[in-house]
Amino acid sequence: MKKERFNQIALDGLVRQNPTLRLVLGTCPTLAVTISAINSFGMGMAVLFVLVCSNVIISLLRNVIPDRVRIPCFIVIIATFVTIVSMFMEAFLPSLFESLGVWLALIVVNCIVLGRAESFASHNPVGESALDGLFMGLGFTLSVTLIAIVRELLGSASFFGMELWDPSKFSIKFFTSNAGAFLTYGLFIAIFNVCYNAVDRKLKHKHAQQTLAPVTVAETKEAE
Amino acid sequence: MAKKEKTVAVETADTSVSAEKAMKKGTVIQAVKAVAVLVIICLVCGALLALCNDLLYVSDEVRADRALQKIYPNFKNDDSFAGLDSSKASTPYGQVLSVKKSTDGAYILEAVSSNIGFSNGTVSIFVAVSGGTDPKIVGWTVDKNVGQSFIGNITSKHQKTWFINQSITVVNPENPEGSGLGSGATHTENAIGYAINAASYYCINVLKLVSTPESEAKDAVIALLGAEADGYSFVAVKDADYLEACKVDEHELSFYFEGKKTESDPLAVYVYGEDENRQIVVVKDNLTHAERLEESAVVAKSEGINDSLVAKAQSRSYFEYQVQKSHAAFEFAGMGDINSEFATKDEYGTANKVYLSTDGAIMVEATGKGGFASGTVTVNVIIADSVIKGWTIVSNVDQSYIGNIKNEHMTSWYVGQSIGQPIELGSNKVTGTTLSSTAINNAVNMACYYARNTLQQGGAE
Repeated sequence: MKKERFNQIALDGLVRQNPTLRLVLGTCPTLAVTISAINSFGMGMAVLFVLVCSNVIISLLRNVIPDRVRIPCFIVIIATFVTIVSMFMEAFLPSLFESLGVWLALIVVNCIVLGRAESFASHNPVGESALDGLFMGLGFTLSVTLIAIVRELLGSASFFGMELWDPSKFSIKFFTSNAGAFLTYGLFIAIFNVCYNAVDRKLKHKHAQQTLAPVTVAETKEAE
Repeated sequence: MAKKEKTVAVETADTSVSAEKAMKKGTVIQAVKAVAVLVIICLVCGALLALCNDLLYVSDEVRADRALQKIYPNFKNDDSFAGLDSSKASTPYGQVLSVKKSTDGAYILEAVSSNIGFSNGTVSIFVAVSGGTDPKIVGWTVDKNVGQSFIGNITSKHQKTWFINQSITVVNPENPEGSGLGSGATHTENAIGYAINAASYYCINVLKLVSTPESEAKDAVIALLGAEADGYSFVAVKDADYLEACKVDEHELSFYFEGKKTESDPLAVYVYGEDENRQIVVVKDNLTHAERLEESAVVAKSEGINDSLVAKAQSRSYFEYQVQKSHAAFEFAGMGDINSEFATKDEYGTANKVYLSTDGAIMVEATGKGGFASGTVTVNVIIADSVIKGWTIVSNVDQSYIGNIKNEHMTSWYVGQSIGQPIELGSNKVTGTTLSSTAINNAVNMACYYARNTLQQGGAE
């Protein structure tokens, strides 16, 4: 695989098409689990596992699965991996399993997973699909963990479950509520997109300058 | 020439028929292939899951052991302990599912809350209770839940702080919901509070880990009732005003218990005095005022009990007391019979009860439909001389914003209006609570409809 393609997939997953902050997909689990950073990281890892595995299998079977039954096939494959990750968590990470509760099972209907299967894995080779799943999963994990860190810090005065100061002295309980989840998520989307657009404009401007300059020189020579 | 054209036409028709046949055949093959692929994928995934299930399955025993290790690592099972008394496992707060005793005297209980959680769901927990003279909650953890989407909000930090080191006699006795614990999942907190209280209730009343005046009184009641007490759960009603209202001369009412049992008559239990001076009267609690005054209403009473105490218990129903308390001007005289012909009106709802007063006024309890999420609101409407004298909300179903209806609304809306005509919603609504306001309006109209048709108040329709 070319380095450019790798960079493109990585940048898409982490920044350009970040599922949480750019595409606003997987909103329900984002709002529900970001009350604690540990839960969010666990959720992110579960989604990452499901994304990578389902993308690989769907990409492998892309020429076998008939078009008219592709969605049921994708759902069966995704549900299988969600059940496996759920069984694994119950066996080895019981407290995380309890904390994630119904949201773990709901990864089956997470738009990110089905979306990547439909738009990427079913049209691209295995290696690229695996990378897409990996970086999309990482993008989701980073976003939800960052949101959770802010909510946990302000709402519960703790960081990944470790109490940093006495919450009775300073904590804003609003951030642990559902409304707090919406507000934090909205602010993150706004900040991320402002930064993204600024950088994007700068890069485009730079690119335009680079492409325009030789034309001007050539035109000058022609005129002479 | 014409013959040749005819031949060509026949050949073209043959070709199109065969093409159609081929296309149909192709479609069938494609459909079969699609189904076959889907079935194969399902079978392979099923086999994979079966394999994973064999490798990763967590049994109930393993889950219980994990919980034990988490909340009480020093647990060593006392084999001589008899375990759960299933006949007494049901408590007012939920059900106790299992009990284990440790050799050091501590108890581990598995309890499930009543349907008080989010979406009427439940939470099951394991609770560790220390032994000794002052048993305390030393640990708890969530086991399972039904429909609690935000169970993730209850973190290990909460499990290490909430209820910990509280005596089992004071675990939110007045407020088992435990609301305001601050996780952002209030209904789930309520369910956890109920489950903890179910375990505490069992420790006090069945395991007899502590003896309180209340538990002693309850034991005395159970001893008096004998076999009749089986299956009943007795909950103390801590209404100081009612206890005061039931006082007879120097005899103070120490405890008033409500005895409940599925599909059986509820009981009202009056315990006067303490220890050797304790006198108990048990009365059936679902009777009309007149029926309750009859001797047959008394289920049991202490030997040699003062007759005035029995008479007081018979005449002072807690339900009637509450009615009178909420409507100070309404001198309660007894219950009226409901006329089923006018007890329902499709557009309004139903009339449930009629209370009679000494001065001829009546109070109708009516349920109005059309509320938020198709829920209902039940109100009491006092009517005298064909005019609404007052009304109050009794209960509601699924009306999340009923709290927006304040006392000032109850004293201004409808009061003084004639019951002769249906009352329009008009200004009798709170913005943002329009559907609950509609249900209230329907309930009030139902009460008026019932009054004007059955009790000659305001003229019949």
